[in-house]
Amino acid sequence: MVILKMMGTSLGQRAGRATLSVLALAFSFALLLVISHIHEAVRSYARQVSSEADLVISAPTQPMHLVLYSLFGIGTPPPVLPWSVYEDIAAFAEVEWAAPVAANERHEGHTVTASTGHYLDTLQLQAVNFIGRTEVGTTFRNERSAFIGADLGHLYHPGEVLPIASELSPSADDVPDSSFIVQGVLVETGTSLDKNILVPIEGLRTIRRAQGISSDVINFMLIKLHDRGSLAGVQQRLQEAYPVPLAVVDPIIELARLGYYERMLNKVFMAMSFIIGLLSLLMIFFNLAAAFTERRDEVELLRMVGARPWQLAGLTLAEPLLQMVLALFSGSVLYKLCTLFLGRWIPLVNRIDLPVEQLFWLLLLFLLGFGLACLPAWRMYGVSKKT
Amino acid sequence: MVPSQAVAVHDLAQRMGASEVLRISELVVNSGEIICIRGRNGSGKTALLRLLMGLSRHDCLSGEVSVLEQDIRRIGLSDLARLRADAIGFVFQHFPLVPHLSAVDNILLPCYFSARRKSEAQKRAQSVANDAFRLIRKLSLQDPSRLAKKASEYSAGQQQRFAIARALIGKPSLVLADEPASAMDSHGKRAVYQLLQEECRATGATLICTTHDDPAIDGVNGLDGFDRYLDMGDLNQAGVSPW
Repeated sequence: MVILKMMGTSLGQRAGRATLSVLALAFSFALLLVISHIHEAVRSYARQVSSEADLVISAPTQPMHLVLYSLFGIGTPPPVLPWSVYEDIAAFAEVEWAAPVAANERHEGHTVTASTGHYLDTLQLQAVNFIGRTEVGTTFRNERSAFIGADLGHLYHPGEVLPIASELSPSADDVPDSSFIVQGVLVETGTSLDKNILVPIEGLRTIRRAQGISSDVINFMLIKLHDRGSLAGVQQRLQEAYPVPLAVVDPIIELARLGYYERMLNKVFMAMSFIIGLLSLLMIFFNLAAAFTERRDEVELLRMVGARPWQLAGLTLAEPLLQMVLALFSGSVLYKLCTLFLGRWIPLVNRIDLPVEQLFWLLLLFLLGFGLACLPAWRMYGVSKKT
Repeated sequence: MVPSQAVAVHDLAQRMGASEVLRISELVVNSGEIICIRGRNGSGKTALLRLLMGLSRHDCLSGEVSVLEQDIRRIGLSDLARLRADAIGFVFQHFPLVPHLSAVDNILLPCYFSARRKSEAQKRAQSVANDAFRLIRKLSLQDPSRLAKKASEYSAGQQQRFAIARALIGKPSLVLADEPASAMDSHGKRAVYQLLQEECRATGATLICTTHDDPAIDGVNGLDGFDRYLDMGDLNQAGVSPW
């Protein structure tokens, strides 16, 4: 008990420096956890969306732009392609299914993404149906059904009418034939799709025709092949022999490239956090080492009242350990607060819990700290034995 | 069983670095004896008490040093710790207290490390804190209840009083006091020497007290009442001590 009291009062002697070290270490712990969390969330989402489609096709654009928009909803929609191109490619013998996606329409400023059930399945979107059925699913009830993104759920009621306007035409608010009906709300995806309205592309085309819009275009299409072995042939045919210039992208390859940059960035951030942690540990260590000389008399006195060397070594070890545990606790609280805050504008982070294996760096830092704390404790043991 | 000899030193030679600090052919202090060792600064008083505490036992070149029937040169670490905790109370001139602990915690320190001394203190005054207050009152402190402040906030004289209370708490068998009243006025010195003698006589403890005070010059009456007075100059044949 007196050992703990002495540790507390001794720590109190260096309260300013100790608090600074604990805060720096807590910040480093939190940063390590947050970076690991974001990394894991991005990886998990990338794994999820890259499993279905073999190719993404649009009018010529940067491959990364196409993948980022088509799979993550990041950036602006790619340039348009005629509907006939979609029909033509979808009819290839190698193609199992094709999902056209149009994203140029708006409803009250919200992007309307028109596609088929395959697109929803590829992104593994789920929705709660308000009309017709109560079970979870994403099948459009009819060509006038609409799913609204999770973030728009509070703005619309089931059965509410959504008039759609095209960027290519004046507002169509007053045209009854240009409306969709809210069928359900999508489960949160963590991407900009949460702010979109998803409608069946056939319904959109009908509305376009009703509005007298002659251009029948899409922004991109997803392709699933019967056999992935035919991918290179199809890709070559589309890029080199197709009469219309196209951007043809294998999402797996682009995601791998994206993953490479993401991992590199992640490593840089991890290294930075680790260095901050290491510096904090060194700060704790040097605080202890500086106090060591001052405490020689104290050690002698305690030895004379009967303190054992291991008790004094324990006292020296307990002080940095207490600081590390405090930092770990504060770092975890800070991490939780950060993910709550981040989750508001990067909802992707809400989709996962941090896997245990991601705590490796944290554990390594803790063990390093323990090792560093053992040095002055060992020295104290040696000095105590001589008195 | 109480040992007949509390301290026995024979043919001791001790060096620190290049200088010889102690050369004592014989010193025997019987159990329950209360002795005063007088000597000028640097005569080896502190070196002798540190050796009896086992602090500088590795610097001994030769001789026998026995404290409460334990060979202090060969005793194991654990036994030495137990001996210090259970049986020896000490007051050293320099660094008397742990500065960041409260005064009362400093006085109670031996009771935290020795169940025997804790139990003795409880037997004597129902609780260890009461025994601490009892000792403090005897040392002429005006308000012994104000012991919660950090030790470093008290004057040197008060710190020395607390160190004496710490040495006496829990009825140790041997009390080693190295110039215990050096930071006090003559009134304080008298109170300290009286308390040390009274407590040790009451408990049957052995007291070895050192001082450089010369009653003839300083007029310190408190130095009366010891069973025996030794002169460190006669006792120690070595040269000048580094202390």
